[in-house]
Amino acid sequence: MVAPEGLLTNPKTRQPAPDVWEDTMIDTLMRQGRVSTALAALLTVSVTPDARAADNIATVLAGPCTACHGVVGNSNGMSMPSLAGMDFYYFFDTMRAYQSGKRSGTIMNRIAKGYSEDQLEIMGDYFESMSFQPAKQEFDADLAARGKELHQNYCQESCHKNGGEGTEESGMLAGQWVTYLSNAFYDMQEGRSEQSPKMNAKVKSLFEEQGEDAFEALLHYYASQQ
Amino acid sequence: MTRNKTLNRREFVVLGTGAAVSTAVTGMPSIARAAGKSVVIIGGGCGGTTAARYIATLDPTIEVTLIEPKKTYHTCFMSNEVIGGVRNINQIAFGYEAIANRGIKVVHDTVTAIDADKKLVMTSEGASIPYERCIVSPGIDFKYEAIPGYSAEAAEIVPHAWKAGPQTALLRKQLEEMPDGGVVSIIAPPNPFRCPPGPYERASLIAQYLKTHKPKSKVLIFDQKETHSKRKLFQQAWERLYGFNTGNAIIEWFPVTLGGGIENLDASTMTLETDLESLEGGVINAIPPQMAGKIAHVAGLVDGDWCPVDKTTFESKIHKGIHVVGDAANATTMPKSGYAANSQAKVAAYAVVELINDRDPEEVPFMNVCYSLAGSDYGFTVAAIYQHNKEKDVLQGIEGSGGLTPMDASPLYLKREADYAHSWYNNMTNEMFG
Repeated sequence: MVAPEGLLTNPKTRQPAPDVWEDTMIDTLMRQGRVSTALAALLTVSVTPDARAADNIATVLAGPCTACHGVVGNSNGMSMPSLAGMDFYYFFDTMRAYQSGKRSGTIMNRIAKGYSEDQLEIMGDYFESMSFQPAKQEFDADLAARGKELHQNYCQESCHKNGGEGTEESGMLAGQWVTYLSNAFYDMQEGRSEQSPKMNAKVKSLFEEQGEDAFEALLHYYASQQ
Repeated sequence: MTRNKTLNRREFVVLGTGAAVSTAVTGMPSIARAAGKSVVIIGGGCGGTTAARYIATLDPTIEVTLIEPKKTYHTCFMSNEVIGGVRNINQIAFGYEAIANRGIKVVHDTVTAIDADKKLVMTSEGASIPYERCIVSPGIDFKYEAIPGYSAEAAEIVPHAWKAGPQTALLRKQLEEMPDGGVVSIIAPPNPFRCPPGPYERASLIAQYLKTHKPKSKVLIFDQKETHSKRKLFQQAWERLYGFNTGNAIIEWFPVTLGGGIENLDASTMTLETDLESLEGGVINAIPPQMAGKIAHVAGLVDGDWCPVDKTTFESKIHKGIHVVGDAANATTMPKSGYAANSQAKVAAYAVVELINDRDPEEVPFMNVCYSLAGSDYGFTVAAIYQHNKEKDVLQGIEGSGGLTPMDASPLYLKREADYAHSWYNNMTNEMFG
């Protein structure tokens, strides 16, 4: 039996999640080595593999999330981010950051503490496997055009691939609700949430070189990707 | 929902209960509509609609029938915004068309009996519908007589507005017609009841309306208990927004031992006699004590006022094969809220699907989140994640998690929570009716 690509390490032996912002190289290496021999051994003796039963557990475990974040994680409310299609690691790390307080929220800090790493992994898998529907929101075409250019010059190369699709280190920007993006951004800028040094530097140069209204243009660009 | 990607990364997963689930994905099982896999759901509110969606999602081969007398459902949550004039009643109204379009059989009829032995649901139009498993989500009924002078008939004049719809519209109309200087009395029920923070959110949003439109008026809450949900958070909000505890208070609160008791309510003269005073001619909102919805009593699912259930599957402890979710269930520490009903419905739907397919359901946690609005841009929450404590047979909040919005939270925090409440509403109602 060949272990499917991208298996988790056995949660029992998995190392503690690394600091979200530190040493992403080590982070990546750990993640690449996430198929442990212990797990491979487990796989060969696993009992009654039943995809449906496992899928159903994931769906019901993620159930409390969707009441606020929308069916399968596609949100209809502008303050609630969509979770569908979110990168597994970004989901996991974000929930860990809510647990530790590195990420500021209101209710999310309280909720995140109710879940184990193992449960978060199942939820992360669930949302990653769902298909993301861009939010239907208004935007200004001219501002979006400026935002596109700014995105390409300041955001794309360093972290936010393509038009701002989700990655291990970033949530979806393209098509995400911009009210949420704006809240999360200012939480970092104003020190309520931790911000990576890399992003800190990029935002600083963006604002110095392009003015603070550059951020609004970026939001219009992300909103325009529907 | 279409699951076109298998969750191929999940392996040896351990749920909070310590139960181990070993899975390896080898491909999706072929789907064929088997005869006899049928679930009947009674009640088209939070619990019923959510259960219907989840059963259809978790096992599309199961035939799901949803029975609900009303063709239009008004959500109780956010109905206080209608009463406070922030939202139109049409903005809390939903139909069942989208549910029917998802392949769920929607029957607009009233269930008159459940035969748990023969596994049949009987309706007022004479239908007899067989089920393999049944989910009952009937919400609440009122003990009108517990308020001296009050009755179902009197509620047509003095609304409870604790089931949304015409009652909500009536209370709103009375508030609009009330002259400046009129007094609004809210009789808040004893525990347990639907939406524990609801009467206080209602008082807040009525006060917000009065503050602008009828500045000489005020709201008095006559509480049939000593304290209430989120009391400190509400009182801090009332101090900040509505002069609470000052001579110009728009809201006053009387706990049962300090003047909150009710001697009599006379709907014909609109007179309310409390332990302290006699109030005439204002607006009265009488919220009676509550019990499980009628069908739960008729079907013999209750022990006292509420339905005892297994805390992992919400299967009735009285009649096997019938699951009770939402306000009607005795979920111990889980409050009777729309969110709780939503969470219970998902877990019960999962249990029903697994049991019908001869699999043992795993224990999964429940969640409740209650948003409350005290004014524009002023919201707060209580949240909890629950798991089953087998020794005590209660649903218990997971230690270190959940809890209330902190006191003295910043205006930004309170605004965010109000915004989240509105986004939650969109997502919650879309999950139910979209």
